[in-house]
Amino acid sequence: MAGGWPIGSEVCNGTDQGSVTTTSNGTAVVTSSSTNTKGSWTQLIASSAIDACWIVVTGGAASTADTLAFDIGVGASGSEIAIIQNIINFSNNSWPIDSRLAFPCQIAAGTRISARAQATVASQTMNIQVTLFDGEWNALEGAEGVVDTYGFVSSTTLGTAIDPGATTNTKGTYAQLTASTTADLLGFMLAFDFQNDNAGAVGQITNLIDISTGASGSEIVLVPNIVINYMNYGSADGCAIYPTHIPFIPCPIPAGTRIAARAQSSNATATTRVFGLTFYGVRA
Amino acid sequence: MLAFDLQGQDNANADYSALIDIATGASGSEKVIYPNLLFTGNMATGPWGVGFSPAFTEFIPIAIPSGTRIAIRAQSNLNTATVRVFGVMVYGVRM
Repeated sequence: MAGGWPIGSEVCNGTDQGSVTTTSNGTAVVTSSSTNTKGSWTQLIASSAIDACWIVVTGGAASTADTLAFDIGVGASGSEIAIIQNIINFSNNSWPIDSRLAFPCQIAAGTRISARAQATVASQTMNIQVTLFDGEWNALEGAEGVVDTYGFVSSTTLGTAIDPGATTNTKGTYAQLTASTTADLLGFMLAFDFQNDNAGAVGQITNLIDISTGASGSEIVLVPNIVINYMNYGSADGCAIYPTHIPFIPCPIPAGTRIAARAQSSNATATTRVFGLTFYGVRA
Repeated sequence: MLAFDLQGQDNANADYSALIDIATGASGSEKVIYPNLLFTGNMATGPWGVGFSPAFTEFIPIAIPSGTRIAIRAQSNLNTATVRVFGVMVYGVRM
C-alpha cells in the first residue's frame, strides 16, 4: 500500500463510502440533543474496500442558522479513534454550505469508518461522505493518517476568534492557534466561520489573513494574505464566508512549533469584522 | 479540479443534493474515476439568489493521459426540469 504524501502526485481507485444513492446524499449523522456536544458515532462503511493514501471528506447540513463540526473515526463500534476532528461546517437560514477537505491519509483496506458531529443547535442532521483513493505503483509511504486540529473551541463549536482590529485595511494583533504542535506536520488546511454573528450591516467585507509560526512578537509569516469574503445577507438569510475552507497546503511544520494568525479587514465594526479560524495539521 | 455553476437559475427555494460521477473513456464505455462526488445547494428565491457548495473541488492528483475523453453524469434528489440542471467545468493540471 502506498501510505500517503509524497505520493508521486498520483492517486487512483476512487471509492466513495457513506454515499446514499436513494437520496443523492451522504449518510445522515445526527448531533447530540445537547448543544456543542458530540453525538454518537454513525458508521459510514463497515469495511473499507481499498488501501487508501488520500481521502476526501464532505459534510453538510440543512438550511438552519448554526455552526457544526464533525469527526471522522476508524475502528470498531465503541472503540472509534478520530483521525480528523472538528471539521467546521456552517449553514445560514437560506441554504446549506458544504465542507470538503482533501488530504493525504493512510487507511488500510477493511477498516470501519464512522462519523460524529456537534452543533450550536441541538439534534441537527449532517450528511457525511468520504472518498478514498489508493496510490499508484510508484507511490511512496507518507502521512501517518492523523490530523491535529488547532484553534477549535468545543464549547462553542467555533474556531478561534480573529479580530482584524478597529483600523480598516491594517493587520490586527496575532491570535495564537497553538503554543506547540504535537507532531511533525506534512502540511495543513484551514476552515473559517462567522462566529454565529448574524447581526451587522448587510453587505460584503473582505479580509486578508496571515498564517504564521514563531514565538509571540517574533512571528514569521508562513502564508500571507489569504483572502476571504465575509457576506452578511441580513437577518432573514444570515451570513456566509467564502471560501469556507483552504485546501491542503503541503508546507511542513516541525513538532513544537507555535502557530498564530492575524488579519486585516475592509470593515472596522467591532463584531462584524471578527471571524473564526480552525487549523488542521496533517501529520507526516 | 472541478467547478460548478447554476446555469443562471434563481427560481426555486429548496435544499437539494447531488452525486456526480467523473469518468473517462469512449461514449458508452466510460470508466468512473471519481464516484459519487457530493455537493449540495439551494436555489434561493431571495434577493441574494442562490447558494451552491462547495463551488469547487480541491486538487485531486489523478493522472489522465492526453487524448482522454472526460465525461460527467449525476443524480439529484430534486427533479424539477430546470432547477436540477447545473454546470461543471474541469481544470486539468498539466504534468
